Amino acid sequence: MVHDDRATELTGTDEEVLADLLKQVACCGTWSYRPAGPSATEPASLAAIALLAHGQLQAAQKPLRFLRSMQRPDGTVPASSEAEAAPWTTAWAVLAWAMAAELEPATGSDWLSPLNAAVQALMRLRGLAAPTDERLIQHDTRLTGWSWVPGTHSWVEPTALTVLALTAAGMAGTARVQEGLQLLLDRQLSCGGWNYGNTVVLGHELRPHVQPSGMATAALVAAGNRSEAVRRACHYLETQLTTCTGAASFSWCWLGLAAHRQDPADTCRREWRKLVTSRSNTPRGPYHWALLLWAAAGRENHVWQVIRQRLSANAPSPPSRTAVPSPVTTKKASGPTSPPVR
Amino acid sequence: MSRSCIVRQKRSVHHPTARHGVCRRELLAALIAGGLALVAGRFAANRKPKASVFLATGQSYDGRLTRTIDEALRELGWTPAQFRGKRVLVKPNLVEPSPEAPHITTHPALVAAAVEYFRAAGASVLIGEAPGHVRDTEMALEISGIGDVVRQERVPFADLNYAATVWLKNRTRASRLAGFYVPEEVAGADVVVSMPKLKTHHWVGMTASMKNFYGILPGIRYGWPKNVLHYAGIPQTVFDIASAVPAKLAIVDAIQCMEGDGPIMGTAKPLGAVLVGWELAAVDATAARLMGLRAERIPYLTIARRYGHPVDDRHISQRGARWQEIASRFELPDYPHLRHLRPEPPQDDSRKQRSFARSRCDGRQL
Repeated sequence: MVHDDRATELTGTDEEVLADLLKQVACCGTWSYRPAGPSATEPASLAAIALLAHGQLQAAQKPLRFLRSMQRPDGTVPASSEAEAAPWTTAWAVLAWAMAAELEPATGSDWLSPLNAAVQALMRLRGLAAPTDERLIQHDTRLTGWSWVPGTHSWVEPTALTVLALTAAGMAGTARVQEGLQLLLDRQLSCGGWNYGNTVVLGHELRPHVQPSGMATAALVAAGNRSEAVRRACHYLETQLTTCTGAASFSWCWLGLAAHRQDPADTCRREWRKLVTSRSNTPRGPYHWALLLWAAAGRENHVWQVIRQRLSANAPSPPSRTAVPSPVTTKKASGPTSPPVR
Repeated sequence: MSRSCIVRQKRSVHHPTARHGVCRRELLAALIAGGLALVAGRFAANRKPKASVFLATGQSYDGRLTRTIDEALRELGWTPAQFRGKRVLVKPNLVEPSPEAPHITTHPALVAAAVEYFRAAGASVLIGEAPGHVRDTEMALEISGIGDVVRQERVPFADLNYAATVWLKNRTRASRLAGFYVPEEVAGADVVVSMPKLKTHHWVGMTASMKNFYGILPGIRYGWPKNVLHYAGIPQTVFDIASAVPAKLAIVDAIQCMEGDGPIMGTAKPLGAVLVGWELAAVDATAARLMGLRAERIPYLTIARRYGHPVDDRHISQRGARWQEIASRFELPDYPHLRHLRPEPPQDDSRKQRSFARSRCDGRQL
């Protein structure tokens, strides 16, 4: 299992460090947030995505199977195996299964059934809207995205992640995804970044954070947005690239820039190496290593390639609030109204 | 009732002065009993167990804060020997660290002092926190400076946002939540030390040791922000969570505080104080008075008071310095729901303000 102490052993050339990290994530049997913790959906999804992004299709099977074991009858994939765990991580499983279905020809179809059930679940989940009171809060509280916990408001990270996942599953044209994108644009701060999801509260604009900024940028780009908002987002991320002191923030900073092909390769590699080979103040678990591994795939990342292909291959379905389109079908059964994987 | 009274009652049927069936002796006895009850009630009120709060003034981050904590706990009747072998969880406030605003988060010097004190006492110490607005705890530790404490003191840190949890029933039920998923590290601690930064708060007026316990609940279950709690009512859940936490101690960083649009966008306010106490409502009430606020009107302290916690100044035994010596008016955003927290609200719209405050504090905070 990968744990923090291994970080100090990652030495050698950049390629050797990357190969060692790849090997560690591939051999990992537990996908947890913290070292020695229990496996959880988000770290397992990240491990699968990171391995797929680096072309390690076979190694990705184990975390993909774990995700399937986590799926509930209603299609959601909860954050952990604990009672009443929140379902926001369903989007992670969708992203991982959609990638596997696309990239892994031999077993890709194995993931279509859980994927379709999870996509349907995501389409049912929705954050709560609220009447807007601009004296207090200036974002548009009537827009509906996705929440962390059912029965609460929509926030940036779950919305960005779900937009990303549904785009990868061929659902970019749905009304829900389009409203999610609108929500992300509405929550963007004047500096180009995002925070957890509040913009101006009681007259003060809040500060941006790197991680949600990277996620929101990646989601916008993945869904085909090339607006001024994306340019400002990339500018913000570029200014943060060398200031990130956490694996998660740095990885999302790189991922956001790479999605838009704006990542300065040399700077990214240098900062990545610094983080990977330094000892962290808090024990890193498989979650952190998988994120760092995924980011290291850079702009040639298979995930971005797949999403670009899907966007270019699929004409977006007309927005519909009454009927949820079938997200992904087997390649044989694909047709114009149910977009194929490819 | 005495035998003579019964006899007299029977006789009094025909007595003009006893036409209501009550004899003079009985009336006298009732009056005496009533008077005694009144005196006893007052006596009981005055004798209501007082909570002690220690206030240290003239403090600085480069001062001898370990000695301050030691002195405070001794004044409160606790010696280091009583912590020997105990599991102590130190919980700073790292809600949203920012390099431009270090006064958002608990200063690392005070956290280091607490770690040093409990370690020297022979306790097993762990720092734990579930930052409320940011998911990258590694970065939060670096920006806040707590990462340096973790490294230099070689003290373990638990990222509570991703902790395994146990279910604790909501015993007080000020909110509708049936219970809370609390990290194992918190539930298993012998003492949980709430180490907040003293700040104003734009929804509930102030934040100190009780609201700091929002940061024990895992984001993986409650979100970033912990919106589940907002929907259930901020003051209500602040009180319920603080009540659910087992043995707790407050050590409040009031050396460099925050005023204005807290808890994130406010400005620094130096006060040079550290507050220590075992009764969190009493500590926060004293902190409110230091800030020039009416403690009993802080919504979550109003609830605590209703549940019998010492919030009134007369129920709090001041140790160390007196709050009156350094109390200083903290700026608050000029919104109706905060105006009534001042000692003398304008008469004309006070009812409207309280009504607005209730509507803002009863939930639906985004």
